[in-house]
This record gives sequence, C-alpha cells and structure tokens, in this order.
Amino acid sequence: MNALPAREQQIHILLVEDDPADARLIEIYLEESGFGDWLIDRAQSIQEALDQLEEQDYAIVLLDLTLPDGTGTENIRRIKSRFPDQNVVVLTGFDERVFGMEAVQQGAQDFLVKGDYDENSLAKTLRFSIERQNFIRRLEETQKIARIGSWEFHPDSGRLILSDQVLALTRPDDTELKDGMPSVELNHLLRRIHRIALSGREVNLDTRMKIPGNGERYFHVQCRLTRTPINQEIVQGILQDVTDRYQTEEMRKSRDLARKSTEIREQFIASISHEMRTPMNAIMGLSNVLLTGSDLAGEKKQMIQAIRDASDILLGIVNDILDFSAIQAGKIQFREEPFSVRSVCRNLEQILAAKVRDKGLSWKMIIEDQVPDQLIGDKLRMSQILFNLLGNAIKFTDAGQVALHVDCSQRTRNKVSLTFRIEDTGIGIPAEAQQSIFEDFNRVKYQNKTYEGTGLGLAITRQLVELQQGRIYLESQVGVGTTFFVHLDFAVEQTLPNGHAVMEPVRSSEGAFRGTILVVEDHKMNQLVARKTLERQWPEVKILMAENGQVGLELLERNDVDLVLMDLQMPVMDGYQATQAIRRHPLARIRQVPVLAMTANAYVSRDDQLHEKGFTDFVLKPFEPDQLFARILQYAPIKTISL
Amino acid sequence: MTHPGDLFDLAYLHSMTGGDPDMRDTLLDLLREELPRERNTLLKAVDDEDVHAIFQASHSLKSTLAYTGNRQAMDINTRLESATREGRWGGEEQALVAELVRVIDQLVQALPALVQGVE
Repeated sequence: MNALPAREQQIHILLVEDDPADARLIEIYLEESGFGDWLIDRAQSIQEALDQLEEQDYAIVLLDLTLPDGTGTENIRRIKSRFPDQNVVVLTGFDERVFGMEAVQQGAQDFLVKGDYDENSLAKTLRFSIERQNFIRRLEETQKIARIGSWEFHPDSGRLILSDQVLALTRPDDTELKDGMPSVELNHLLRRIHRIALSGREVNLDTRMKIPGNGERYFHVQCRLTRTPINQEIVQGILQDVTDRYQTEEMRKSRDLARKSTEIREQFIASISHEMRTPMNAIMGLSNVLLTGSDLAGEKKQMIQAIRDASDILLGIVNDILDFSAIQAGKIQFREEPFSVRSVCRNLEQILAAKVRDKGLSWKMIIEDQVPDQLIGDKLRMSQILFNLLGNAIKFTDAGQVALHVDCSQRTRNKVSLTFRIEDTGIGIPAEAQQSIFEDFNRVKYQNKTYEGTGLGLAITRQLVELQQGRIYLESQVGVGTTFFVHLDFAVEQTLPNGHAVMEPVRSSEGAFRGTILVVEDHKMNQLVARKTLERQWPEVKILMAENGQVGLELLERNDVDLVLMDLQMPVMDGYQATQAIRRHPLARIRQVPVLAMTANAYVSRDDQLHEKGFTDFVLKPFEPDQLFARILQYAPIKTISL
Repeated sequence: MTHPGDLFDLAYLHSMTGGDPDMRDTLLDLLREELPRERNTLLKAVDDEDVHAIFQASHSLKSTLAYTGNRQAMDINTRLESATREGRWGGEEQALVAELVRVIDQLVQALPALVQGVE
C-alpha cells in the first residue's frame, strides 16, 4: 500500500484567537488528546485569518468570535463569504453560546464553549468537523455529477442559502458566484414555490428557465417545509438539471411520432396506390379496347392514344412511389431463385420494342457467350433495374441507337460478376449533374425542357443495385450520349431443384436423358431445330413430332412420353386445347405428363394463366438451348435421368 | 444491291446448330423453302381479307424470321401479329404487310448468295 506523503497526512489548523492563554490551552489539549499529526498556525484577527487563508489550505479554522476587528457571527460570515467551503469550528465564551448556534446556522461545522471543553471533547469536535466536511464535499461532488443543487430558505430572516451547484447550474457564466445571489429567473421561481411550501404543500415539478449563456434548460424542482431542532421553519429544496433526460424523452417522442407517421404514410401510400391502380387499369384497358376498334380514326384515335399514354405514365409514377416507399422503409427483399438472364433480357426487349419503334430508334442487344444463362438471384429486380435504365435511354434519345450489352467480368464455378452496359446516343448528362442524377426526386432538365416522371427512377435503381451489393455509375457526354454501367454478382445455378442433375455444363456425356419427348409444333424449322437440338444434347433421347394438338394427343396415347413441348398457336387443335385435353384425360400417365408451353410471347409467358390452363411451365422461343435443356431436366421424371 | 451480311444476322441460327454444318445447311435450305411459302400464305390471307389467317401466317413467320435475325422484319411482323391477334385490319396493318413483304423479298433474293457465302 502506498503511504500518503507526510505533509498531506498532517492536519493543518488555523487558530484565530487573540488571547494567548486561550491559544496555548488549545495547543495543550491537542497535545494531550493524541489528536494526531497536527500543525497550528495562528492569526490574531479576522483580517489576518483571511490573509492566511488566501495563502494556505487549512483542514480546520478554529475561530474565536470575539476579535479585535470583529465580533459575533459577523466573523463567520466574513470567512464564509470569501471561503464558503472552509471547515470552521467556532469558539465562544460561556455567555455567548447563542452565537455558537447562530454560527452553525451561518455555516460553521460546530462550536466549542470556552471553559466547557476538555482535550477529549476538543479532539472529538475537530475530528467530526473534518469528517462532516469531507462528507459534504463528497455529497457536493455527487450532486455535481447528478447536476443537483440544494438550497435552504429561512422564512423568519428571509435568508436564502444556495449551494454552489445551484449557482453553477443557474448562473454558469457568472464569475462572481461567490455573492451567493440567485439569478432573476431563479429568484422568481423560488418566491413562487416557497409560497406553496410555506402553505404546507410539497413542491414537485418540472420547469424550464433561460440560463444566461446556456439557452433554455429544464429543471426538476422539489422542496418542502421542515423544522430545525430548535423549531425554526426552513424550506429545503433540491433543483436538478434534467435537460438531457428531457431532450432524450423529447427525441424518443419525436422518434415514435416519426415512426408512427412513417407507418401511416406507408399505409396511405399503399392504400392510395391500390385505389389509383384499379381505375387506372380500367382507363388503360378501355383505352386499349377503344384503340383496337375499327371505327376510331383521326383525332379521336389520337385522343384515346393520349389517354392511354398518360395512364401508362401515371402507372409508372405510382409504381415508383411504391418502390421508393418500400426502399425507404427497408422493406425491399430480394429473392434467390433460378432464372435465365437471356430470358429476362429478351422479355425486356419485347416490352420496349414498341417504344424503340415509335421513336424511330435502332436497338441492339448483345449477351456475350461466356455469360452463363442459369443464375440464381432476383430476376424481377434485375429486370426492373434494366427496364428503368433502358426506359431512360429511350426517353432521352431522339435519334440513333439504344443498346444493352451483357458481359461477364469475373467467373468462378459458383459465382459470376455480370456487367450490364446500357448505351444510348441521346442528349447526354452534363458533368455537373452526373453526381446528383441518382438522388431522390432529381429530374433532368435539358434545354429548358423538364422530362416527365417522379425523379425517383434512378434513385430507386441505384438503391436496388446497392442493396444487392452491386455498383452503378455512368459515363456521359452532352450531345453524344450516355452509358450506364451496372455490376451485379450472381450465384451460378449448379443443381436443379430436385437435386439430381448437374445442369451446367449440360453435356450428353454427363447427364444422358434417355426418355421420350413429344414435340407438338407446326413450324417446320422449329420442328427441325427442336429435334436436332435435343438429339445433339442427348443422343439417346426419343423424339416424337406432331404438327398440331390433335396429332399430339394421338401420339401421347400410343407412346410412353416423359415430357411434352407444346406450341400454343397451331392449326386444327392449338396448344391450349391440347393441354386441357391432356389434363382431363382418363389415363393418369397422360394426365400427369409435364407439358412445357413453347411461346415467343413474353407477356403470355409471365401470365399465371399458363399454369391455370394446365401447363407445367414454359420455354421461350426462339429456343435458348441451355434454358430448354434445364427446363426438361427440371420437369422430366427423375427415373429418366442418369448421371 | 444490299449485301447479305446487312440483311442477315445468323447468330441465332448458328447457336441452334451448335456448329453442326449439316444442320446449318438444312436450316438454310428450309429457310429458302419456307420464307417464300409463308410470304405467299400471308399474301393469300390478305387477298381473302381473312384476319385470323393473316394472324396465323404472321405467327408462323415469327419463327422463320427469327432464324434470319433481320430485326426490321421481325419488328414489323411482331406489330402485325399483335394487331391481327386483336382483330385489327386497316390501313396501318396493310402498310405493315407491304413493308414486311418487301423485306422478305429482299431476304429471299439474298439467300442464295448467303448460302454460297456460308459454303
């Protein structure tokens, strides 16, 4: 254990006594009492004591109340006003013990009556005074940490004693705190609450005060009327700065309110969007019906066209708002499901073909051979990202070309990094606008023309890319065109959902399909391609060919078929009728055969009605071999696949 | 005269043949047979003013044209198929047929040179 330095262990006492005999008596008693290691300095007047207190710290001031330059409680007030924290024990004459009581009220720790104490009571009084003083200091430190101050109000004399902490809290910029006076605001507050306390009620309230140099602060105030041992009334109170707590509470309330507002806003947006979509579908649907009527021409047709185009824009805006709201609320979730990147791009190509055509633009799409087709990810979100960027490219290009280029920047067995490049020869984006182009509600202005939209499209696109740990950026030159780059990582599908076949690479030597496939297709070239493609992939496959649904049904009844590839539009019996007949067939082996629709129509392929009409799934035409093989392996009975 | 390379984009055809020259030749031969036949089927349906038959002819042409890779023809045909599927048959659709037949004729005319080039 470390011993304290001798100097610090020594109790330094200032004895303020003009009578040498009394002073000597104190020294003698202290020597006899075994008080410890003490050192006495002596002053013979108040002024001399004040000077010495300026120079030196003392553990105790032993103060005679009858001195040449002051008597009675005036002496303690003079010391306490300059050194409010000083531990003072008062010495009074036998006839002056009343002053001793008053001195304690003025801040002295205790008093000793001359001629009425001995060495033991002297030592005991001094020790207790030091302990009390230490205790008070610790209490004040604690109050300081808790930002609590205390006060006493003596109604008889009108005396108000404020702790240092009260002054520090209410007059923080005041360098003259030692005057012990309350600020104007505090004084006003105390007068008000003292009236309440003096009526016998306890005060317990939160209030706020303007604090010079510290703005508006919040305080918790408690006080009540008590009585001293000599039956004097005192109002005792505490004041605590609760601004931090109050602000935290206010922030919590604001946060709760904001959360609630967000919930209400989301519900409102979802509700209003739903309510808007329904009539908009009616407007768009009926506009389409009118446009397809043969009796509409000229101006009326243009007007209906305008209604449909405006509805289309409005629907886009509603969708943007819904997406934006979902992203803001962190409610966007990304699926992990197998999909064909080429199918997604082809679907987009078809969807956007009319817009490209209407603007007289040329279109180019290149998907590099090394891009694996079957990936795992969120195809809808990928489609949305590309749709937004391609839609913008078309919107801001009046002449020339819009192109989509898909390449593979990195590839491992399980993972691929794709780069989508969306190029246009449009108006371009000025350098100073390229940073803000992805910000919310940013709308492009070009030659004083503002293009329609919410200004959310690119913000949503960026969020959709970044939420998938992707990257999006652009290169652009005004008047030349813009290229957006999107980098996204995907897992490469390795196994089929049934877990039995390795799909990539699909090679006849690795996964031989030995079953029978019925191809129902009226188009000669498609028949040939289907046959050759399948036979090249699986030399042992048996292909049955039917030129319409009727023939297909007959072949199905006469042969053990594992899977049917069914065209939709055919003479005699189309694919829908044939599939319905298959699903209603009395033989279970026919009812249960997987039927894949072959369709070039991206809209039809996305339509759930395909499933409702009995199709197991679909493959897009023109064929994408990998997709075709994958779908067959996915749905053909497991018994027919061997590794 | 338009160069065959400007009219045809055989990427799809090549991808479907998987580099098999026999199959490629068979497909090109079929293309030489099917394109004129389907063109004539379309024109007959137009003469008969049978909108459903025009739609069926256009639908059939869709696959055939995909093998040529000619964007212009595919695009025109898609518009024609879409219109006739909905029963539309007016001046706009007739103009589409005229334009489509013009492009098909160019393709048919260029096919022999293309086949020779490939060979």
